[in-house]
Amino acid sequence: MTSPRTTHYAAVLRIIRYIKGTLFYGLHYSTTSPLILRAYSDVDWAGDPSDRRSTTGFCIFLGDSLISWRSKKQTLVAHSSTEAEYHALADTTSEILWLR
Amino acid sequence: MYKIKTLSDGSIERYKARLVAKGFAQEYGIDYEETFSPVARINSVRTLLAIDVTRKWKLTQMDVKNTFFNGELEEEVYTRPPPGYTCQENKVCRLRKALYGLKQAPRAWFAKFHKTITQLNFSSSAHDSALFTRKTENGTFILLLYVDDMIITSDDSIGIKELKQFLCQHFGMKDLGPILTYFLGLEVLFFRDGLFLSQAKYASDLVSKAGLTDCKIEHTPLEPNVRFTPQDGSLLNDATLYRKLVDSLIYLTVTQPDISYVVHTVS
Repeated sequence: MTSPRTTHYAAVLRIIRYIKGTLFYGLHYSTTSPLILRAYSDVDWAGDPSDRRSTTGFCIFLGDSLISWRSKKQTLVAHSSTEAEYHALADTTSEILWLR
Repeated sequence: MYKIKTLSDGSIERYKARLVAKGFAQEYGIDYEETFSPVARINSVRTLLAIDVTRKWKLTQMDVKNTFFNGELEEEVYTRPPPGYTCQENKVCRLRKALYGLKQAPRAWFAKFHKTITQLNFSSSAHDSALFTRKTENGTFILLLYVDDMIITSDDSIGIKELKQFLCQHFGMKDLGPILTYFLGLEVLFFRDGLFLSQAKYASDLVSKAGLTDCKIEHTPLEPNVRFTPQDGSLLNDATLYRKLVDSLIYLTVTQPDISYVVHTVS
């Protein structure tokens, strides 16, 4: 957001063209869903070639209902994919603790 | 400040006039201290709806009229007498209650609401201070506050009535009825087997705001293996529109997890 370039702007327009096809997408919460929390987490190790930082992704389901998710760049440079995964798990766990 | 409130078909609903304070003339440490005011986390909204639909509890939506006038000021704040009010020269008015425009108005309102609702044995959640709960032998109550909008849910229908009466005694309330259809720009549709949460109107407004109404649809939100580097392309001359569009996209991730990664990379 601080210094957007023409490449970013082109990406934004592409997202909006994608949105145009998904206008009626949304979340479905079922009445028969069990109230059990499940969480999934993943990471792209050193996904950004310019600063070598990794991006965490997680999603948390309450039964069949998706209630929380995030895509977030890690604040430090992980030296191994294990370390990157570990940070992702830590972020996810703190979110689960919050939801409980 | 004057405003004409219109209905969705463009007809005039009512005329509105409001006295506002010049918040921009306030100085930190003199006229105000803290301005932070909590609002409910969007995760709380989704979790509440997901739990609610499985328990088949009744939902009620209410909003507070003239919200910020309810706030009580901790600081001494003075204003010039409003136009049309005659008093001695060189005199000023001291505010007892908050006015719109004051920097601390939202905070003062939240504090007042918190104080009022805790009288009813509601307690604010440790993880989200705008989520209030109460447990009695008749049932559980959950109240979620988003500035002046709130949703209340409970398995105790008599208790809900009492709670509504209590709120109406303390604040000017507007009861938006038992069926939630629209909350914070989210469209809520109830079916027999569950509920559906979407932002179709918001999304279609965004498409027209970007001037892409007649464009071809993309089937993926991002080209594969795209990496942004600070060397590619050139700097945007005016980033105002870009920021507006990204802000709208961020809000759209509330019901669309599929764009969450791409929106994060451009924000």
